[in-house]
Amino acid sequence: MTKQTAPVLGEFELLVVLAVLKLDDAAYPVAIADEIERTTRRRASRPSVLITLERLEEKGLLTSRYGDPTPVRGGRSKRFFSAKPLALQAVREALARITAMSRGLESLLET
Amino acid sequence: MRARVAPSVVTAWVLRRLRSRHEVDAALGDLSEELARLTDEGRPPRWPRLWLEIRIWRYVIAGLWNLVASLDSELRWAWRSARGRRISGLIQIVLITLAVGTGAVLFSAADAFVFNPSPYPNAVRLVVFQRDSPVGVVDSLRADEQRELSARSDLFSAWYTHSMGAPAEIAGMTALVRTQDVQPGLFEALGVVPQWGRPLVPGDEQPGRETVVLISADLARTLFADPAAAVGRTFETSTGAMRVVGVMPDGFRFPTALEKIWQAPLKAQFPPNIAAVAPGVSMKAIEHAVGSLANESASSGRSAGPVRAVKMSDAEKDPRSFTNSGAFNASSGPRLFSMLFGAALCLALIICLNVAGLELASALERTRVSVVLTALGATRGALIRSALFETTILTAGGAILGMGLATWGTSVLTAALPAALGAALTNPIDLDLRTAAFTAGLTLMTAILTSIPVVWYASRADLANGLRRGAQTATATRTQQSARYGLITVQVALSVALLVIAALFVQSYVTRFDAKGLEGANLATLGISDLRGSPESAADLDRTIQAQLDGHPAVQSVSRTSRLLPGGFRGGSAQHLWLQGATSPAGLAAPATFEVDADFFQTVGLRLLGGRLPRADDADDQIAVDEALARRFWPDGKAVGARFSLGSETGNSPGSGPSQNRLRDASAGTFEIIGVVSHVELEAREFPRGGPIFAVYRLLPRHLPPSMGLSAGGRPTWIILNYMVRLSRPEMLDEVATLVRSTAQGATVSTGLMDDHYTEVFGDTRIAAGMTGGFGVVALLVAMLGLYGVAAFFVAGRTREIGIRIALGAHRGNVQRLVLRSTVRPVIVGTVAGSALALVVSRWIGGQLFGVVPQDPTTYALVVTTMLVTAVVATWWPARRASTLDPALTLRAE
Repeated sequence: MTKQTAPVLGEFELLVVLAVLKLDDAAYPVAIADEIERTTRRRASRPSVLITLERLEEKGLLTSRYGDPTPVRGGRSKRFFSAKPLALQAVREALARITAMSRGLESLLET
Repeated sequence: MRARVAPSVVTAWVLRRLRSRHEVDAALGDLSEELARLTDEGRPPRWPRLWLEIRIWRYVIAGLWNLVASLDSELRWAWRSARGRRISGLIQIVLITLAVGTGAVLFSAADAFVFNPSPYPNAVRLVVFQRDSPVGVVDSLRADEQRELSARSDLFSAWYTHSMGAPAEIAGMTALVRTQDVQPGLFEALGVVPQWGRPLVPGDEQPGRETVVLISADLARTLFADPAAAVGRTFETSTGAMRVVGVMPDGFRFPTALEKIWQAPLKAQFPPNIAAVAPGVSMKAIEHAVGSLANESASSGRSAGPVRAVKMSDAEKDPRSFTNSGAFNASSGPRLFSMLFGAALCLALIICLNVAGLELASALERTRVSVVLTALGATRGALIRSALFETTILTAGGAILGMGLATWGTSVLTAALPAALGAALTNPIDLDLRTAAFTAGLTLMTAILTSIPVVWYASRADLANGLRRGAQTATATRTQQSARYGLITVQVALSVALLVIAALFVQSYVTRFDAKGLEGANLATLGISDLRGSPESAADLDRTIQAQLDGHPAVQSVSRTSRLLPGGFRGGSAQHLWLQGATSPAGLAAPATFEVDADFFQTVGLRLLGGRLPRADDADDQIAVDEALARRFWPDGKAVGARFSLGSETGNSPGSGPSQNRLRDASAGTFEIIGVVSHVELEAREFPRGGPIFAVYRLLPRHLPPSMGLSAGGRPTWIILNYMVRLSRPEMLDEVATLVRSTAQGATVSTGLMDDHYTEVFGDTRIAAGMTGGFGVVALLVAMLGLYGVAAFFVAGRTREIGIRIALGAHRGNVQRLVLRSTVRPVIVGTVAGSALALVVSRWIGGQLFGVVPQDPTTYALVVTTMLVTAVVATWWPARRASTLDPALTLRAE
């Protein structure tokens, strides 16, 4: 069987997948957006996070399931996302590309 | 407290259509959680609902964008294919532009007439009283009926009156301004008060040095530049100084948009004719009360039609409410516009069929591409979607250009409208929201209709078999060929029908304008009204003016008449015409009497057709009549010398018509016809039962007494002098008018050119002729294009076969005939069907035609010939191309 090639991730997609990996079992859109905002200090709107999550799911990188309804959310359930092995591969490849491209620029990029 | 969030009904509905229940639920949970957190942090959104809606819609739109992005390749494919069409794509865009443009123009015109919104907020609580009369629907309530109804204070809370006032000539303005006498309180009852100044109040009708008036906002702007500054100002008119106490808001009209000045009547000349419905009273109760009144008068043997109560808001919607200008044929208006609307739709349909034909051709031509795409894995759905996108791109291009065309078209149409009709429209002919909605609908229809063949083909065609055929032999199957023939047949049929209607209208207008019975060029009317003083001083003025005009170098001849042409019948009634010695009337006739001097016939250009012209020494009962009357009652041509009388159905009562229109001859009771002169079209309409309105001419001495109305005491209440003037050049009219104005100081002098009068009188026929004529020509061109398409496609599809035929010895002529035959069947079938359709439709428009019968064989022959010639011209080029094919080349090709 040939190895599946991982799709190329955009910058925001990369951040979202990283957040999903970080949050593990607690990865649902609000938490993911919060995680991105807190760590990167950039704005991550809920709709764009949700749409990105869905796109990544369509690409076969993530999978989702619905949790139990919680009273805090007015009896609504959460949609939890988790990464598939392909996502891990895609993240690795993306980071490798960045590392490769920045090689030789260390003196320039160090602050 | 946790904030509970719920989207609006619409948003929830959209969400549920696009997403699963779980997804929606989870997304809403996320939003409510975020909202709760913001509230906890002490920075809750100011409008939580709006906040929620914006976020949900961002989500929805982003989702839709994802969907579009997934169709990316199909869109790109469609775009490339649309661009690749080149000429045929351009033709398609031009056709759609025409369909959308003409449709939008027509709709905006129909819209302006149909949706003429009532400017009176309270019109639903006011009623007017109408009855049918031989000349149409009139607003009238007899004094006895009014007395009876006004006693019913349980039904009506107030009564108001309004009537036409004398037109005012304002210093510095060329056109006369119409005025209306309105009872103080009427405008308040209508729910409109002046935007500047005060309304009319009781006491304003008191005679004083100045007349107190309300004026329209546009008149205020013309006179004083600023409406606000007009209040309190005075302006001079031919009937005296007028002081403005109030300026009505923009867009206000009463009763039509032509009245610009409203004043309180000096005394109530007419009984009240508008009633305010008492609170709590239903329209049904009013109708019942008025209905019983009508029954009573019917049983008492009165001949006038029964009176009925009509809500003023309904009466306002009636096209008749703005037809008082006389420029618009009231009864034919709605029919005219629905017909034009039908013509526009017909044209749109022809264009759709044509585009559909082009689409089908291009779908067939692309068979190989489709087959290759299918072989590479494209689904049938993707092929259909791509074809639909391609049509959408072309249709959208056409729609955008069509709106541009419509913008230009509406301005042209507005300019072409008779001035009075244009001024009476409060809803202008423009591209408003309703027109935009209609255009969107029309575009959608075009897109759907033109996509049908492609979808049909893509969903049914045997694509795999297509690969087996060579490009040159990828001819249409029998079904596809019949589909194309069907499309072109319907196109030809619709074009023929449209052309016949157009030809009938154009012929009607030309006949009407030419056969108005007089030479309109250089003929002018000159009316002097509001003369003060005695009949003797008016007669002196008449002599002075005639002497002046006779001596003027620009005046070729001048004649006095009791009435001006055209017109002369307004307010008249039909009477029964009795032939001498007959025991029953010969029929109804609508006479308009002209008392004229001896120069009249020569000045106006009336031709003598029999007998002699009236002479000064004729007896009172000797008259000349118009040819229309003579032909109707004396078809054998023996009108000259015949005697007749006019009266009621039961007996002779000459002169029983309204005072201004009767033949004043009580002594003899009968008239002798001494001459028959050419018929003059007096009015745009025909008399409903009495046939055309005919003119009766009586000769009075050279200086006939001025026309005047006399009060009961024999004192003149109004005096007018009317002249028909034949000028050397029409531009000289202004000079002549200035001369007369300087002589008849203090009086109102109005002038006009006869051709302009007739352009107004026949305004509706002109619009109909112009528009259907334009549509007809476009339809013919489109049909020509369609026929060309059929023949060209025939040649393209059978190149190989033609090559073989030529190789086997077929002559040029044989090949040309072969191609010509390809369009013969659809053209013949279409022409026959179109003629039949035209026969049916033209019966319906018969009432709008003049001087031409709906079944006019010449018109049909002309249209059929035009269509056949067009078909030959359209087919000629492909036929020529086919006959010059080199068989060696065509056979060597695949």
